[in-house]
Amino acid sequence: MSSYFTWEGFFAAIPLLLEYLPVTLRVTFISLVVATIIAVFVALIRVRRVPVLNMVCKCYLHIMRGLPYVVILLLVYYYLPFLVRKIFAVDINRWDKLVFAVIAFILHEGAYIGEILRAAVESVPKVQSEAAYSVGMSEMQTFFRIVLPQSVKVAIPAYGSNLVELFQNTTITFMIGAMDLIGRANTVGGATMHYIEPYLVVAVVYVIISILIELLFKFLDSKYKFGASTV
Amino acid sequence: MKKFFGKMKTIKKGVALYLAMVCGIAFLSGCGNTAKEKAATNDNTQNATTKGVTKVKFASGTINWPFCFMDENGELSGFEYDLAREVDKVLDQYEFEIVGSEWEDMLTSVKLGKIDIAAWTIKRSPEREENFLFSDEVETVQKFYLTVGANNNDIKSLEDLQDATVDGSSTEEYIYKFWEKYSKEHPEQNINIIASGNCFSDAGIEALQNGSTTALFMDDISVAGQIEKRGKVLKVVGEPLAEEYGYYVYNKDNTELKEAVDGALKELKENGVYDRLYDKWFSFVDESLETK
Repeated sequence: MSSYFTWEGFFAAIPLLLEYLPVTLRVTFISLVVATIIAVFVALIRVRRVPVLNMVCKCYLHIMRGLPYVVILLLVYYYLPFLVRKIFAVDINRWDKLVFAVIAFILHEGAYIGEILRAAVESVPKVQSEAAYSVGMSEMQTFFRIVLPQSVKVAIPAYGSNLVELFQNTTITFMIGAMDLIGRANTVGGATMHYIEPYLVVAVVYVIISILIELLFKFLDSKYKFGASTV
Repeated sequence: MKKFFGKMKTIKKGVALYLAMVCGIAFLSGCGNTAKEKAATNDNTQNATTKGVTKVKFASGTINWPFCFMDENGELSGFEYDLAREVDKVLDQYEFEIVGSEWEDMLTSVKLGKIDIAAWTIKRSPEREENFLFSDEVETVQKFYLTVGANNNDIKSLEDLQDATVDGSSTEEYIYKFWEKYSKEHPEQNINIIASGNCFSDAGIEALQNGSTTALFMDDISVAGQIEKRGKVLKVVGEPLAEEYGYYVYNKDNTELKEAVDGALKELKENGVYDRLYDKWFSFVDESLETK
């Protein structure tokens, strides 16, 4: 019986897998950026209580927060092309699997980050805005000078842990057979019949990068003193 | 305070207007894009028809050496992919885009039109034939044996499996159905069937070694593949119990493609290319199984 784990297998798997790390990072990064843009609009609508749109956003948030990642991914992968063809008469069925993964992540993260941003903005007491108006600041000035700096401080830790979670959740792309870090680990396992080594490499990579992201946000949090120094 | 709320109201209006504009612009640009994309896809199909080349998406697995796997350069490799590339060469009117897929995803993707051809030693079954089109030409041949751990000398035939636990991998698989049928026909043997998900995982192989499972029903190529990669952990017992054929699977309405590929497969079998590929990937099988 050959042994289940060999260090040779472990080290042999590293270069094969690292080649696909950029794919995973790219999926994470693109999802994060686009989701944040969506989240800003969602938060804006929620904070301002824009009529109609506020209800739409509420529905979006409730649905997305009620759906597990895997279910969103499967729905987007199998059902979205059908929907798009029905509405726009465009065939997106054959797009790369990673595109569907990114769309799923964006939909999900848009809701979560949206809530983080809304909570952050609403955490700044209203009296501060009122005080700003009373000294003659405009709405814009108030938002950018008083509310935004303080809410960024509140949002940083939550945003960071959300990013770690998003990064780790990219592993579910293996459900649809997309070829990223975890997908490649599966194939290395299949080709060598040694699954433990590639999975361990994946584990190590995920732990290292998650820690790096956490450290980065801890650093940002410590650097960003505005609004906290007086508390 | 009143002034503040008044201000809020105008701001609200402003924001609403702004959002409406953004949405409008997004919608318009979206429409623009879709129109563009439509034009692009139209262009593609027009190009395709003028050149007479239709794009075909072919998918097989990525984790099943030596049928379909990824080599160390990240290239899709194995018998299935080599055969597909040869089929592509024969068929001038089609251009194959070859992609890797998960087993769970493959047949659904054929059904939904995400891929045109699925190939992974797919066997016919009444339920599948109801939903899919199968090629007429056989793509792979597998001989199924009773398979036990290499250290197991008690089991010589199916009759020896008294109160045994067997691993059928997963409930919809051919091998699981074999055990189901057998245990129904031989209730006195009291066979316990489990579905471990993958009987060839590390845990599945270990289970055969330590006796927590007794036997598998497995094909020659897969068993030989395990022996080749893991060492002598398994052995086949007795004569083959069944011979099973793998076919290409298409969407129900893809008869034209099916006919063309069937023709190509026939040609490859006649001109010896098929045999050459078969030898290239599966010649080790007899050797592995005989030296057990």
